[in-house]
Amino acid sequence: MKLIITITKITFSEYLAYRMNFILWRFRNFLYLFFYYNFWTAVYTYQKQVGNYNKQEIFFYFIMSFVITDIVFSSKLFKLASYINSGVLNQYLLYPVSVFKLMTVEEVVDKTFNTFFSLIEILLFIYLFKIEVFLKIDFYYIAVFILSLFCALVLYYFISLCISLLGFWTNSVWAPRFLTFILINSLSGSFFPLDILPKSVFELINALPFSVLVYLPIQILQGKVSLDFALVKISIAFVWVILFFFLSLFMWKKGLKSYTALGV
Amino acid sequence: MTKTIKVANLVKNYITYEKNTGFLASLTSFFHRKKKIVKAVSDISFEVEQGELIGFIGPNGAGKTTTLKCLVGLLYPDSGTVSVLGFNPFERKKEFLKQIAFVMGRKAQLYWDLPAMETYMLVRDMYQLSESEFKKNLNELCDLLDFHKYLNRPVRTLSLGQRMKAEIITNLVYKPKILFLDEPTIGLDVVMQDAIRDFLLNYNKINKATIILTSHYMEDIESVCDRILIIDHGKLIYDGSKFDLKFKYAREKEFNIRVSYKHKLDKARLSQFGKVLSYDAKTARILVDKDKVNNLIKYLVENYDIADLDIKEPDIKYVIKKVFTSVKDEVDNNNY
Ligand SMILES: Nc1ncnc2c1ncn2[C@@H]1O[C@H](COP(=O)(O)OP(=O)(O)O)[C@@H](O)[C@H]1O
Ligand SMILES: [Mg+2]
Repeated sequence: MKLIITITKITFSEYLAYRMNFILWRFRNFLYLFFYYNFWTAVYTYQKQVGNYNKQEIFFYFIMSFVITDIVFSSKLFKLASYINSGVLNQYLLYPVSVFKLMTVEEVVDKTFNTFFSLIEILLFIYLFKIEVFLKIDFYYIAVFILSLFCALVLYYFISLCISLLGFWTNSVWAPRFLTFILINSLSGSFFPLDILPKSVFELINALPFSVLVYLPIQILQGKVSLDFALVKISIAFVWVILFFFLSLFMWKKGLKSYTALGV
Repeated sequence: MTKTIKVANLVKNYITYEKNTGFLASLTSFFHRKKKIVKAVSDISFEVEQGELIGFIGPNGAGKTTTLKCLVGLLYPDSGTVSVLGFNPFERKKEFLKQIAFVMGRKAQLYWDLPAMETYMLVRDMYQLSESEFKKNLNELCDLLDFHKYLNRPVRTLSLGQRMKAEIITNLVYKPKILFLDEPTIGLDVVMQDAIRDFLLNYNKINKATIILTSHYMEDIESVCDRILIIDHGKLIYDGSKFDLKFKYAREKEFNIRVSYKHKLDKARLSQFGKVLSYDAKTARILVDKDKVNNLIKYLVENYDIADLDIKEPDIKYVIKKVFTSVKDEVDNNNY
């Protein structure tokens, strides 16, 4: 517990030390919001409906996708790859606390920070642009939404862990990381609601686990899917979580044995 | 007496793969890669008792760092057994990690943009130190290293030497029983090197800690270590006390003689005792084989009125140089 508090403090101090970076990062996000706002406004001047979405629904979607993307995808886990390659991992291996425990705590602290700021931005945005928001205020829906969000977080955690662990075998994790980031981002529905795509494409994408990351939580929140359907999707996603978990475990064990503790 | 460290027939080869760039290449390399084997440590055995001060020396690439990394559990040995404090290092048990420290000369463990104090607090919590224990240890270390005034400055504003001290504190606030130091004084100025050496000696005395260090500076070894392990091409070629090393490989003593004004030194006679390095009528510098030391002193006392006589050990640098030039023949002849 003390450890968690100390890590929180350090993360906070680091944010302060890099506050310019942080402010620019948040500003970039705000620009994104503004861009989406204009984009969808333009689209809806010509038509009343895109797929199943009217203007208000699409606005709600992109605002929620903004928050959820921020929560799910903001991850420092990729540091692990450079730790492996540069030998910084050595120091973590010598700590009496597992590197995963440390990184997970850091991750949670970091995500909490991001969520907090992203919520502030959103509220500011909604206020400034006078956007009407429709929520499915129903206890069960909210509960399942939270479950799906948790599932999304864990799934993304293990996916990025696996990509980071590739660092044991390659020096350039940057390329696979970038590729998967773009791929997962688009397939998760963080750019637009997946169901406005042609039905066959949509079904293909929906069969992959990534739609759980962003698309599904918003669908639940908007009340566009039945709870039963959502729960089935979440269960399938948890199977993926287990798969990625074992894959990362395997990679970690195999990687450590061939690890050459490079650097010094 | 149980040994703190037991190493038996340790072998470690690096299998370097050509790490690939690009995603597809790295995917294929996951399954099939070109191997290259580098023999870093081949068949090393030694044992260490608690509280020993050990110098681990050898030329670049001899396998010193590799051995240390096997001892702390960063590397998985190819064969042989390593036991440290009764643990298998590679399992990296919590109780094991809490009792050892590995100080790496060139690596910063500290948060770069934050004061060292923040890193120490993280260490405090990871090693589950009580606040009083932590304060006491930190104070002690800061006193020994004269570090109090740097605690709250961002690490990046510290000099190399100050950072090394900061690093050492990171590794020692939890009072490890065994200290592994890989070139702890590299790149530091003479004053700072001395400070670190004094510190290590003190730490060993106060805490009965075992210290194993590698270094290129023979001064480190000379002033800190009692026992020396010499490694070359992954093989241990000497293991014994510093004193024995000098005794075995440096069979000479250096004599500096001055005689009173009444006398004149006889150069031809002196050269029978050893190699005359410099000579004038009243003074001489001679390298004398240990066997002849006695005779020379006798000769001097009987024949001269000695104004000044200084008999020196050759320094360790000279000895090590001799080890590397002579040891191979000796090993081949099997007569040592
Ligand atoms: N991570 C590594 N990958 C491949 N080869 C290595 C690695 N680290 C060291 N080596 C090789 O192993 C040998 C021993 O290195 P090392 O233990 O670092 O020597 P020392 O510390 O005595 O200078 C050297 O030939 C070095 O090139
Ligand atoms: Mg080395």
